[in-house]
Amino acid sequence: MEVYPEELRTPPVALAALVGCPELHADVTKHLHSEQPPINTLALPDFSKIAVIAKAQKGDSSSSDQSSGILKRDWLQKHRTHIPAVVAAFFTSDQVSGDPTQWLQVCTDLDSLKAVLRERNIKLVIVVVVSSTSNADLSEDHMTALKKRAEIDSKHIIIFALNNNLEMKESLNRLGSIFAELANTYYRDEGRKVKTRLERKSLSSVELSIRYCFKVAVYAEFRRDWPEALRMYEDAYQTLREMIGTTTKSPAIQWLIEIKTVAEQLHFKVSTLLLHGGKLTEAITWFRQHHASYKKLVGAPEVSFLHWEWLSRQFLVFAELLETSLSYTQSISSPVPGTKDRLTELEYRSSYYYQLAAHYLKEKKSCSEIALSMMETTNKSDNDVDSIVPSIYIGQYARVTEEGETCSVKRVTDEDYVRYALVEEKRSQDFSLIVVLLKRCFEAYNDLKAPRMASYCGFEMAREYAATGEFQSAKELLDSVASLYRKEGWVILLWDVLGYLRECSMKLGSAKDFVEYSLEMAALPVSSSSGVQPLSFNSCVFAGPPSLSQREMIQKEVFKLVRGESGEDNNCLKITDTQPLHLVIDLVSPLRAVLLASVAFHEQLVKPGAPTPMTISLLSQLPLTMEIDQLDIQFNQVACNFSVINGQRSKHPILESHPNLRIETAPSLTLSTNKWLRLTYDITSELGGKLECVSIIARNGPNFTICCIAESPASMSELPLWKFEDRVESSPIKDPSVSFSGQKAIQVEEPDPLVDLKLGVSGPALVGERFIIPVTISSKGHPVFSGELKINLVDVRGGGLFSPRDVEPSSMDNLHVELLGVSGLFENEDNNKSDDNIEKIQPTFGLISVPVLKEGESWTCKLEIRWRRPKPIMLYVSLGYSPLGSDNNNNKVHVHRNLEIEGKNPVLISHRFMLPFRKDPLLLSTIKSNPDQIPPPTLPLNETSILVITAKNVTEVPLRLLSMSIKRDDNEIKNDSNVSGFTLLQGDEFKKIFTVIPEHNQPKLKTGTLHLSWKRDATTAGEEVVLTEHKLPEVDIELPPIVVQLECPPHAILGNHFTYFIKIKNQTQLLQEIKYSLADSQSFVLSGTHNDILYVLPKSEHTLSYKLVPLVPGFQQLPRFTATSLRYSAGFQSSNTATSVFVFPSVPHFLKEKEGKLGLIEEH
Amino acid sequence: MKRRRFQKFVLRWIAHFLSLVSAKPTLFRIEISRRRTDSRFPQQVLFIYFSFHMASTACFMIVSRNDIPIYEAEVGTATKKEEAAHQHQFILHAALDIVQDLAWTTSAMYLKAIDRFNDLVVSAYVTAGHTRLMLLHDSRNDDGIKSFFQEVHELYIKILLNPLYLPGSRITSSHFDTKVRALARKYL
Repeated sequence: MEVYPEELRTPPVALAALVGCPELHADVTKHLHSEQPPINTLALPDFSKIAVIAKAQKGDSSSSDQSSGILKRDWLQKHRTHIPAVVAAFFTSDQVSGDPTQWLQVCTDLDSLKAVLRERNIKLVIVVVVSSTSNADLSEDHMTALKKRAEIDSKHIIIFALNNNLEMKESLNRLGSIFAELANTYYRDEGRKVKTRLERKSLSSVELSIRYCFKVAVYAEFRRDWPEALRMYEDAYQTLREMIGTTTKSPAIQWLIEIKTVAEQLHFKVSTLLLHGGKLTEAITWFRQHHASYKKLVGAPEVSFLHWEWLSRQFLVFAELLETSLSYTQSISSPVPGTKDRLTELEYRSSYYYQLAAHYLKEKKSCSEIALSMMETTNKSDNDVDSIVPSIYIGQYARVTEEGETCSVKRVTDEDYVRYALVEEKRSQDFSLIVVLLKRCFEAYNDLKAPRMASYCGFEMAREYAATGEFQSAKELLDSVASLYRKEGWVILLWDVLGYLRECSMKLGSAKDFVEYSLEMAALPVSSSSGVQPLSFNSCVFAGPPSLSQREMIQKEVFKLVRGESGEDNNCLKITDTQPLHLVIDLVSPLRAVLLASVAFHEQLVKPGAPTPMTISLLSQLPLTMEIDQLDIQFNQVACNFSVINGQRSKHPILESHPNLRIETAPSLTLSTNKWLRLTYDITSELGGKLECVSIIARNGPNFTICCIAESPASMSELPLWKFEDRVESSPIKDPSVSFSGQKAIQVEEPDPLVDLKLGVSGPALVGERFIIPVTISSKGHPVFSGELKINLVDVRGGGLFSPRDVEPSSMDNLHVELLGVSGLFENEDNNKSDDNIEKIQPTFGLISVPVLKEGESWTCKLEIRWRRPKPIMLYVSLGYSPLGSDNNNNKVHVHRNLEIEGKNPVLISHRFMLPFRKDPLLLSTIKSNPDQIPPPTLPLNETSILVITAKNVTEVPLRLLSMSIKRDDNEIKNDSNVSGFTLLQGDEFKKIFTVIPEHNQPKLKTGTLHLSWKRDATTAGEEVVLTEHKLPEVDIELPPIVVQLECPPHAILGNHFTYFIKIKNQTQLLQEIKYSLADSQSFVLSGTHNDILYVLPKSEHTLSYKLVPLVPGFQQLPRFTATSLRYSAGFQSSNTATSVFVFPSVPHFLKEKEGKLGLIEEH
Repeated sequence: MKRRRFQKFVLRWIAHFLSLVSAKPTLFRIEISRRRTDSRFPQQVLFIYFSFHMASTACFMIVSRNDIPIYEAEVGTATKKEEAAHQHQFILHAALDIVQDLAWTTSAMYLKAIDRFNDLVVSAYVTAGHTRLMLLHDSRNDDGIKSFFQEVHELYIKILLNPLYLPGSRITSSHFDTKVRALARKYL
């Protein structure tokens, strides 16, 4: 916008002139300026200066000049700064009411002022300044005289009081409003005057009508009548547009220039007014029309650059206008849909216009270059153009010739004008402007998240940089642009960009970049077969047309360069011994299309020292066949590296410093387009571990290497640009299974271990004992260096449940199986190495180091494991050692052994509580208890109960019991028994009887813990004594209210009577009523009551006695006794075992012997 | 009269020569106007307007959903001009940004004119599979362009139905090419 003069850019402001009383001017100016709308002031100190306003005397030429131009250059300037709408004449009251000479002076001043003003129709205001110091009073007569003299309305005489601030302010306000009113009137009158002239339609030329329209519009602008101004500007613009088709004037070139210049100014005004009025869409539509109507008017070819410059300026200025107006409107109204020629969203962005401005500026640049070169060929001196200056009309140029004193101005011919324009053109700096513009839209598009548009701008910018020799900047830009095109696969665009990049890197002398870009270009999937290069108007096309032939040419050129065969012509790029070129193609490089290396081992595992086949496959998309001198294949194991040399090249292989490098010779190393070159070799690795092919280096010529990172065919990604091309796809390896699953790495197995690892275990482990597992390492060919023994205990059922995470690991009781330690370490080894030895024992894991063993030696240690619960576990023992004695971890040999060990309970302990025979206490709790749940055993208080403990050997190991005891919780041994030397075989039971007499009446009495100590009954002495604990259950103790005791002899003899007592003991303080009955039995004859109710006194015992005579021999049931305690509603029935007795048919022998001794059979 | 006829001949010859050089007869339009305007300039004044007249140039491209161009054709009567062709591709590529924004604002496939570069207009058509058909043209024949897009879409669907065609890969079918060019002649 800065191209336009200031008066055009800002809206016009009314102008008022102040004459006389210069001391007041500052205040008045300041006040008027701050008015709304503001008024500019022209301060003239005294009346002699009034001539500046006066109309210039027009010469005779004025009439002929009328049609020679459209707009005068200084007209607007003049009206804004020189011709006031109002003139205020300041007189002091002393001057008016003073002596006659002063009055006379006032009159002459007024007359001269009036003479000037009348010509221009300028309004006059008279200000009489009344200062506080002056004593002269201003009479009505004076004022009337003044009014008459000045021929003005009475309200246009203002008394300006200076007495105090308030009054002065008031006067200023009055002055301001009168000025505004008069200025408005003046501009309206002027506008109307011009308009009537316009409407008379008797104008001599179209130019005048345009000029009048312009003037009316400007006057309307002075009045702030924007719609009127807009209408008139549009009228002027339309008239001008029509003029192009209808009138022609000489000189033709300048005529077009003038029209365009005027159109530009009118258009600027229209767009400004539209945009300030907030009519964004209208402004943009207006601009589009403006562009459409003028873009074709290129004009004469030698000055066509002026047209492009003009067009570019239109876009630039509109972009700036749009930007400023958008910055305060902030909102972009969406494009109106439905209309046929609707605006795109982009057209609301200033960046769109910047981009086009740059585009046209480029056009201009190329045109001006041609024009300038043409001018240089004509080689005319351009001294005479110095005298050409812009003439008084906008868009016209004139020659000033000095003839002595007077300067005469003449219009220039088109020829001179063209020369002038070209000379001016030489000074212009298009390049920097283009770059600035492009950078602006580059950034704007990036902010809009439109990377593709930004790329296009970036590309254009880079082209400018390249054209002006700033190759570094160009290259940086192009690199970023190229990456986008590469990603999106726009090959043709990428081709262009790469072409520039190639040229830039050549200019920068970067051989590496040059080769990289050239190779990438040569490998692009461009195949348009129209090899004919059409005429190209742009000399900046570096890349050439994207075609196969061009690709071939580029490839040839590059390979000539890298082989050092190119002639001297190829400027600064040199690849020599001192500056060898080394390209690296990694997995994401765009150069993968140039050389793709896939390496696959045919097998997945290989023994060390055994050869395994490996296939190297190379693919190139270069259009011509590429010949490789030598291939270096590099592995992670340096010893495996080897080279393949081309058998067809007679040159010596380029030997590396490695003297014993393996060298293979291939019949040919030629890569044709899109055809895999497959080479298969055997690889032998001596070392265990992973063998991986790292890279393949192709040597081409002495100083050029391409290092290709090897890829596995299984995980190889496709070439991004060639992926969707129409080409024959083949697998890198013929064998399809290998090509699908082949890997560039192979696992080399360890050498077979020549060390034996033995786990000497027999039989199951028993819970509680410290189970010893001897581990023997015996060397059978390998010495053992830096050996490590790893021990792992794993639950057979999976899920290492040894140390549950939710329980603290510190509580050892939660471990069911625990590795206690390793004994027998370093028994026969001196202790000086103990520092190096690792020994790490955890409950389920152990790591111990093994001393150095020579061949044939062996070493033993013992693992100690304790089971806490019966559980089968898997014991893993692995030995890692290095047979070579070096510390290299890769060469370790591992031996693994595992063993399942069952942990078993040694003995099964059971117990039983019993009461004495034929004695039954009434235990109330057993009656009441719920039959569903098994009650804890209940023992009667103060009665003797019997506890039978049974220990059964459930293992196949014979055990020797040492002692069995019951310990109370206070560790007091309740009952001890030494059973030393009793051996239990499998299935044997050992029973022991304890008597228990409860003394405290208390539920849930703890009986104590059974301690059983035992050891394995092995032949070897020194077996460890193991103590097995078994917790006895709690018992309830209860006082039985009634105890029934049956008494009868242990046996009877047929026919001999005996007495059967039934004792009922009442242990309560209450009288107990017992109802009883005795059933008859066939085997016995019985005397006594069968049924009765009896009363047992408190704390006493009642005895029933019957006499019985057995009738049948053998085991016989005594008559069944049934009793019911009525108080407790509890019945008693004697059990069968308790009431059976054996009846001998006659007196047995042992009784007879006894009888013999005693003489009598005792009767009970 | 004779002189005028001679001048006419010379001008025609110049026009012919220029058309040969440009290899594109429609590229330059030579406007010759003769007016007697000023007595001081008795000669006829020649206006030669060099104007880029690309009235019949259109560049058509199909861009796959991965933003890769899968088909491109310079349709229309104009002969091929490489530099211009590349610029067309640049413009179309840049217009993808706008398509990307616009495609989600409407359910219609035909997006109409979406971008404008000089006198060239970019129209776009987005298929359900987000394949974009893009046309760079300068004619204002909106209905024709719409029909063109719709018919090419049908052709494209036929290509997709081909079991040997891998979606997203370059369309190399010559039949498709011929059909598209025929459609361009018909509608554009």
